[in-house]
Amino acid sequence: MDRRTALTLPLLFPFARHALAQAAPGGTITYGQSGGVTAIDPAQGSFATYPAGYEVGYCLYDRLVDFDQNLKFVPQLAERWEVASDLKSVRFHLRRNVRFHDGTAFDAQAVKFNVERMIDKARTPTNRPLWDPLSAVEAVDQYTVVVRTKEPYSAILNSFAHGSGSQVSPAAVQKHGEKGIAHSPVGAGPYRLESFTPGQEVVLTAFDGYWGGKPATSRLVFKYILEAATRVAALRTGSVDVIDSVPVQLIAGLRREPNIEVITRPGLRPMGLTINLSRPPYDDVRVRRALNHAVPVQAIAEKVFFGFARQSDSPLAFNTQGYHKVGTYAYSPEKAKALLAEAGFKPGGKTLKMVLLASDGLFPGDLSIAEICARAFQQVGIDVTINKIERGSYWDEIRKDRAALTFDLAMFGFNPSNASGLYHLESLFKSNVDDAGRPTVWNFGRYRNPKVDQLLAQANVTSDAAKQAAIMAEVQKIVWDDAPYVWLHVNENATAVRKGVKGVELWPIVFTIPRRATVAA
Amino acid sequence: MRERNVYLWAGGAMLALYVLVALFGQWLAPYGGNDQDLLNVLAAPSREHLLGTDQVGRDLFSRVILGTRFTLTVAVASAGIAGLIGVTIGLVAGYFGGRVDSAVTGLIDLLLTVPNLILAIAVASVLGAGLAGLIIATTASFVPSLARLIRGRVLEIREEEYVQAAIAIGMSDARILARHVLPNALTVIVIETSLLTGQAVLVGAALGFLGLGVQPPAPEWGTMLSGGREFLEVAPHLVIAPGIAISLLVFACNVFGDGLRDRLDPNYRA
Amino acid sequence: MLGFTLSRLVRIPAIALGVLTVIFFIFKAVPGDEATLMAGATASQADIERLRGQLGLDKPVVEQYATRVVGILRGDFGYSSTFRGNPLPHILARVPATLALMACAIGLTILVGLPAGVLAAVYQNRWPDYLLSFLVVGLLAVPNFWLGLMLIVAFSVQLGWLPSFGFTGWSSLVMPTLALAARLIALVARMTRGVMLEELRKDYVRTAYAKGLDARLVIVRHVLRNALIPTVTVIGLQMGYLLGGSVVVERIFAWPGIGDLMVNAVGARDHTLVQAITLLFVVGFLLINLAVELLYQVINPRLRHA
Repeated sequence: MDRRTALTLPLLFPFARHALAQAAPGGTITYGQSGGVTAIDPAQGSFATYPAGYEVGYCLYDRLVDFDQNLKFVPQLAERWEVASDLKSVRFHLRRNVRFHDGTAFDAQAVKFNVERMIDKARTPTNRPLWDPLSAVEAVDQYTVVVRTKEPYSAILNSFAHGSGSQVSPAAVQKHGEKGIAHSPVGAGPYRLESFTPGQEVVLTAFDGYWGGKPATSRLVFKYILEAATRVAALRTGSVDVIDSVPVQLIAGLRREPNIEVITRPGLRPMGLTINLSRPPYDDVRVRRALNHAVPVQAIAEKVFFGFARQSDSPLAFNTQGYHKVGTYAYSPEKAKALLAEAGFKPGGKTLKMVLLASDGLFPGDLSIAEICARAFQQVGIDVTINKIERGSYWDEIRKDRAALTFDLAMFGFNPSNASGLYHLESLFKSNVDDAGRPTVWNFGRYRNPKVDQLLAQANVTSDAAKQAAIMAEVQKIVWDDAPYVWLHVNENATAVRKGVKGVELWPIVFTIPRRATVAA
Repeated sequence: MRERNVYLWAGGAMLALYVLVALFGQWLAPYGGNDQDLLNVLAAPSREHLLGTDQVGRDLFSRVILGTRFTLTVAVASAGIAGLIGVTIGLVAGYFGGRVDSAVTGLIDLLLTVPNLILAIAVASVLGAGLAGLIIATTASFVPSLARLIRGRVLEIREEEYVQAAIAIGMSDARILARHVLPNALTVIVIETSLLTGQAVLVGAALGFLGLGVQPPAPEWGTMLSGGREFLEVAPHLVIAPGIAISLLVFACNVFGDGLRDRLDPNYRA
Repeated sequence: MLGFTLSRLVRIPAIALGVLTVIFFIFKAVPGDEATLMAGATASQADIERLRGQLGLDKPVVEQYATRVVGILRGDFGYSSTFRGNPLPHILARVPATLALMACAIGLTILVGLPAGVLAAVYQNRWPDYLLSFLVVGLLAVPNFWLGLMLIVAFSVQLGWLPSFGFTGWSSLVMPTLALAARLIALVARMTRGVMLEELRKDYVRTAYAKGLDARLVIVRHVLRNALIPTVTVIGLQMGYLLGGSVVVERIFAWPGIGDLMVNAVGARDHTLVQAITLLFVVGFLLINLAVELLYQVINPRLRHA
């Protein structure tokens, strides 16, 4: 065989596989994801990359508790549960006759194994705020488990509904090892792993022995397609059936297509510019409020995102658990200048300098937002330098030790993937254990307010939902007024599917879940 | 003869135009490079905005004009510095020969095995973003081949009779280099460097396109092409203008370089 | 010929080692703590120190260099933060896509460039010639990434004929190949035209015409064969461009090759991956050069080494 044929022959294999896939009974749904999947394990690697890995995880694994489309708790592997009134323990009653993909039984021992794995920092270095509060887990009998926490912890169910609460087969972990399980995942969900090319493709097939009945769709294929235009093109030609992260400027065009349906939902991720409070004069609240008045947030939401974004009126997103509307910082360059003058920055006098960190492709429209904000700040007399950081190194850049920080403002958006507003507030606004070192969670602006800390601690131990909401409302008001961020907007998430594909869920926490989807033959 | 001069004049005229735009861009551009008009995002070309607006409402025509400065600076600086370094290395290696030559040639040959753009990318990734890094990376990618060419010419010159004579009568190396070698190598140096300028524009723009160039909101053409990519469907005009600007500049450089070559040495064969 | 091939092959590792050395030390000169960079944002100080020990980043630089060289000989290219381990298998998995693109580019160049040059020479100073000159000048000035974008706008966005992303079949090869090959086609066409013109002036051609031999036969037999060597030369000289150009073209078309991987590596500051890919490009370049030289000898027996 000549060289040309030899070179091209291997290229035919993917086409063959594609053809076979189309022939599977029950159909195949192909999902073009904006991120690549490199690890499918709640612990090590924690469903990298975010959110793609989670989306696969939600189809392959089951958890004790699940979210419905409105982020309310529903039973999954636990039939029912009782949360103790002191919020220090919860008793789960497990479903019977559930098997993992490898045939082993799901029972209290399995749950104990998984929870201990999550509590163990060495095996689960990520998602610590969700699991650190837990102290012990006890298998009372074969189908009953009690989980205890160190302090009263009201968001305990959120931890179990979160992706990291996925139940992994202990036998599989023994077999493949702690690290190996990420590439050979074995769960109890409706789909099992067929093949996995890390960073490129995951193929799942329907699991016959699923406790909820074999799912209608035979195969789920997850493909990594980085470029948005590419994803959209793939959807148009039909080589994928579902895509996530549809760029807002393309939504109108896609909606005009007869074969395509666009689903949008307000997200849970409020965008903002984190202010580095460890660098004067950004520790002066007048300066921070001035910054908030300087940016035309409404115009950004309407024009840059074509209306698919909404100006924030709280540090939390609109449908986060515990959201409370606080207010707006009106767009007023005059007011901004006045506040800056009060703080000592008058025209002709001292100039305020700013280094603004912008990511490139990490958040929707991030560069455009950065350029607009920079210009807005310039128009109130601030000398702005934009520092663009590639998406791959952005997290490293913002989470440095205080002395090593390189910015005054940095673009950021946090997505509380357990939907809990309390979790969101704690991650961003609870004082760091050590301001000089790395931030405990995401408080890399070094915000410190003892009143907020006290209120958050209180909210954690309050079992009365109304009281908790009131406390959280107060926290949001304080934080909003303190302005440790330049508050921006909340994006709508957009997913697109081909007509005939039904049941794809778009959760506010940015995940697109094809777990219960079906495709017309 | 006349035909060759046409190249020189035509290319030269276009280049002069670019230089003028680079120098006086601020006064030629109808809007500022960073004037955002959020009510007028991604607008098609119109009378107010000759080339339309970009995703934050900036006038594209103004940004293309203002971007001339970056590209021209990078191209001229890289070609010039590469020329200087290449000449130095080529002169030293070619004239003195021996172990210095072997060492230098070895290093050059080594670097020549790395494709041009790859070397630029590798250097840029070490240096990070910014105008200085961009110039250094582009320069670095051209130095090896330029040094090699000049060294080759120096080797030829060294064997010429008048040089051999000068050595024989004991003239100092410095004088020989200055009075005999350099002037005779000048043609090659000038021609190659000018031909290089067009390449430098392309490499610089490519680095900008890959995100290795200057920081936003600088109106660099390569960066603008990269930024316009996600809007190909709704606003293709964003990628047309900067690309034409780049192409015409490269065209001008090539034509001028060809004309220069024909004028200085019609029998030139590198 | 075998001896020649072997002697060249043997030199490749030596050259690769040299390049590796230069690049390794350049990257080590960059300020910044590598262990922190590789461990990622969520790592604690303890994790960073553990990684530092694991990867031997606390040892002297020369020792790290030696470890890396030995590792490469065993196929271990170091710790890439993107793949959390040896990047070699991931890189190799992407090589076929890049090879396919380059092969098609070279193929297209020969298929289009040669005949274009021939036609221009045969119809010298008439409209095909002027058209070619115009196109050549244009294609040499146009940045290949812009050409790619324009092709996408025309054939994907406006006309919807061709896919603009990834490697999904023959139709997805069309535009990337065109974008990459454009410059080569221009150079080959120009070269072929020049060679043709020289040959056409030669005596034997006039004799053939006088004798009434079919002109086309003459052209094909003698002239084209003489044009082949310069063509191969041009393509060989432009290999560097082809490899480098594949990087930007792959980026535009989301082509799953090693050029695309390199750009991601730079963005993610994954220095190990950047070095590994650069090394592979070098080795590839050297192998292609060797192939070109062997091709010379096949075409022109006079160049064969005894």
